[in-house]
Amino acid sequence: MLNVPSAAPAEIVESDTETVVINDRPWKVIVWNDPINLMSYVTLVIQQLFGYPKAKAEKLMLDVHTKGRAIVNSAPREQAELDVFRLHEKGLWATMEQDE
Amino acid sequence: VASLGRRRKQILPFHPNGDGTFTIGLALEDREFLGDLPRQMKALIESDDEASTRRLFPPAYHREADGEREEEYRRYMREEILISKTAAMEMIREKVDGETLTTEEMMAWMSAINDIRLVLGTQLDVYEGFDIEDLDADDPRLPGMAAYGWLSGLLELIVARLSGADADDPFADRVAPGEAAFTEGFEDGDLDLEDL
Repeated sequence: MLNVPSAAPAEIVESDTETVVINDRPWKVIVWNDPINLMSYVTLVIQQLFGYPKAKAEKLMLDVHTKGRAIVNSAPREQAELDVFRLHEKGLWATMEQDE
Repeated sequence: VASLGRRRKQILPFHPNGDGTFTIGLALEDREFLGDLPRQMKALIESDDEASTRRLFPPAYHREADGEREEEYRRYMREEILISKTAAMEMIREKVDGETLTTEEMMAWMSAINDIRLVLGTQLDVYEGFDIEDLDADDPRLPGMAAYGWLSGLLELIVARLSGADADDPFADRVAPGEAAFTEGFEDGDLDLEDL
C-alpha cells in the first residue's frame, strides 16, 4: 500500500486538453511532516544533502513541523528524483510534484 | 523518567576526540541491545512486513497522475534504498563492540538508528507530542516505547555530535542512553521487533 500524504492536493485532470505538450516546468521536492523524525535530524539531513546553511535548513524544518510540508528544492525531474531518493535513503518523508 | 543529574558528570557516549573520530562509550548491555537490532530489521524487511516497513520506502510521486512514474521509481529505487539502508545497518553490527567511530561511520549509525525508529514508531503508532509517561504501567507497548525513547536519545546525541554542538545540556529533559526508562522497560525480556 502506498503511503500517500493525505494533505496532498487532488490532481485536477483536464480531459479536454488533447494536445501533447512537452512539459519542462520544474519539479518541487517536498518534505512532509511526520511524528517520528526528530527536528534536529531533519535539519541536519537537509543541511547535508542540499548544502544549505544551518539557518536555512532550520527554517525549512520548522515549515515542515508547523505547516506540514516544505519545498526543499525545485529542479528538473531527474535531479528532483535524485533528491527524493537521497531523502528516502535518510528516512525523510519526501515526495515530488510538478509546478502547475 | 529519572533526572539526568547523576549522568551529567559522566562522559556521554560518542564523545568527539577532535580528530574526526568519536568514542562510542556505550555500556555493554546497550551495545548488546543495539547490536541485535540489525538482524531483527533484516528479518522484518525480508518478511515483507509492509505494515512495519512502509516508512522505509515512501512513495516519490504522490500525485495520482504520476502513477506510472511512481511504479518505475519503486521498481528501480526500492532496491537501491534497501542496499543503502542495509549497508548502514551493517555498520552498527560491525562497529558495535569497537572503541571509536569515524565521522562517516557515525553518519551510517545515525541513518540506521533512524530507520529502526521509523519501524518501531510505525509499529507503535507514535503520534506528534507523544510522551512515554502517558502510558499505563501495564501497557504492552511499554518495552517498545522505552526502546524507542532510548533510540531517540541516542540519535539526538549523535546528531548533536555531528552538528558540532555541545551535547551537555540539550538532553537534560530527555530519555538518554542508559537511562532508567530504558532498562526498567526491559526487565520482562528483550525487545522483539517481529513480535510487536
